[in-house]
Amino acid sequence: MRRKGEMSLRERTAARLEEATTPALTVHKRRKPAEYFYWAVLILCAYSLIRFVSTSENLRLDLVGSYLFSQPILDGVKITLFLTTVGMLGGTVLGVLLAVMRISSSPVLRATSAAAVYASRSIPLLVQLLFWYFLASIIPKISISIPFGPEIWSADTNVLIGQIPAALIALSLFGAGYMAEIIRSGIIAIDPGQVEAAASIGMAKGMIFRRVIMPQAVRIIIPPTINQFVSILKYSGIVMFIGVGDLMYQVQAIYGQNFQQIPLLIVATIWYGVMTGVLTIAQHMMEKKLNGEPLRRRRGSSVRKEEAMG
Amino acid sequence: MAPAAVRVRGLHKSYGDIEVLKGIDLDVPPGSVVCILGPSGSGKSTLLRCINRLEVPEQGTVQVGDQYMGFSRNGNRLTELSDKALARQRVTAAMVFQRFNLFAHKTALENVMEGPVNVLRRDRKETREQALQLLAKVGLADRADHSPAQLSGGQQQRVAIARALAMKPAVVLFDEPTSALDPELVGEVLTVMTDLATAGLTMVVVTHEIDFARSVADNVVFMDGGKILEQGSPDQVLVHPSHDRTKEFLKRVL
Repeated sequence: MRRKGEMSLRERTAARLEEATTPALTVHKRRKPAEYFYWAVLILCAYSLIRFVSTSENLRLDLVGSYLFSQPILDGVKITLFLTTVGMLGGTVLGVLLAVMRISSSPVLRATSAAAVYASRSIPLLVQLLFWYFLASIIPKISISIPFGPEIWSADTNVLIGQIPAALIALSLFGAGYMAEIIRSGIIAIDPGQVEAAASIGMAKGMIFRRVIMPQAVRIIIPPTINQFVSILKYSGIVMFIGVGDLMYQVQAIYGQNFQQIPLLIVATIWYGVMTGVLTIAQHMMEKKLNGEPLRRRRGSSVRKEEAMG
Repeated sequence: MAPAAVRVRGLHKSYGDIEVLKGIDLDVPPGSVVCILGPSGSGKSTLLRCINRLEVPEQGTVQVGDQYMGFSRNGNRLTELSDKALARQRVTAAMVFQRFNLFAHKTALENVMEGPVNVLRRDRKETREQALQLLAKVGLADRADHSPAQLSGGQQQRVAIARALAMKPAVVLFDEPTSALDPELVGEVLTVMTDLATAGLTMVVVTHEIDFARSVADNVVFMDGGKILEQGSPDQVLVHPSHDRTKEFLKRVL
């Protein structure tokens, strides 16, 4: 009997014949007609926009150029940068604290953290801002004293929490809840097996957090953190409600006098765009640097192949 | 008789209403290899994890050397240790896990050095030399700078063994060390473990590898339903089992 897989003489002849009579094949890429349509629409839109911008007499692009680097605008940018950076820093520090409390073994700390995150995320930023700014109306004096004992230090609330401190407190507390959740999501993404392995070689909780969890969690945390940074950058514009001279405040002050709203809003947009761009570049650089570490599966597949063959 | 390296007495452990360990007594003489066999759900892994206190038993004691795991002894009083002191105590009973659990952000060498440098506060340069020797011992000298993702399962498990040995533990606990491996990679890990047994390392091994238990173990323990049904030499338990459950189990896995 013929073994399985072996071809008869007849089959072999047929296969050879088929091979000999098959013409050489050429490969053609699929046509994509829709692509031409997208181009046409895009070019049309771009043309209309350029024509409008170059011929409109109401737009006053020249004003954008003259205000872009004017002193009040630059001062506003500085204040916006300061509020965003310090507010974000405060939010991150509080966020780390809340995240650590949330994963701790103490039920008291876990519940406290959950409540704080809820408060931080549910109270509107504007409410928080006005609350801290008007705190003096309910607590005129802030003092530190020994419980049931003498007063050590005291200050007038109005002096202590002025416009800028109120803005910083509001932005920090507002961001803290979001940052806590971002950091917690990074922490819980870490393989619990690695945490057990760390415990099995004698690491205490703090060391496990610093040496095993955090170095791996930052990679997960960075993109949403930069996202949060960009959000706070734009949310910070709300401080004009209590008269802090940030970018939006200055822009409004100027168009309040000359009624050139659109050109000045374009000035603000350009500056917000530049600051967001810087943050985006920073994010890419950080991700690139972190991915250079052994965590990434760079040559994983080729090593495995080598292993399988050898 | 020499005091036991590991001595377990009256161990009980429950998860909610389910009692996983129902009173376990076990002695592991120094320099011996104990293999724990049994069907899944019999409590083997839980017993192992109670020994280094990754799981906290409700009742009973575990002694590693002269230390009561999780407690400090003062006369006849056992006082529960702080998290930090417990962490330090775990060094004496290192563990090798089913899923390797290497630190993904560190190279093979760094994985081995992590404990000695940061927990034992040893000199980095000296530790590096010792870690390289350990990697050579498990046959991975040329993989020292590879990250876990670049290593096969068998290689990762051998790094994990080197990481455990780096702590110079009194006993190494192996929790199904070959169960997550492709069949062709099981051999390389068992070879390393056999070498360690020959060199006199005290080992407690939860495994399904009957051949390994037969040829390497000094003592074989058969567990079922949270209890030790029988224990003795490999010949006693694996060739002439006295209990019906053991016979049934062996028939299924052999």
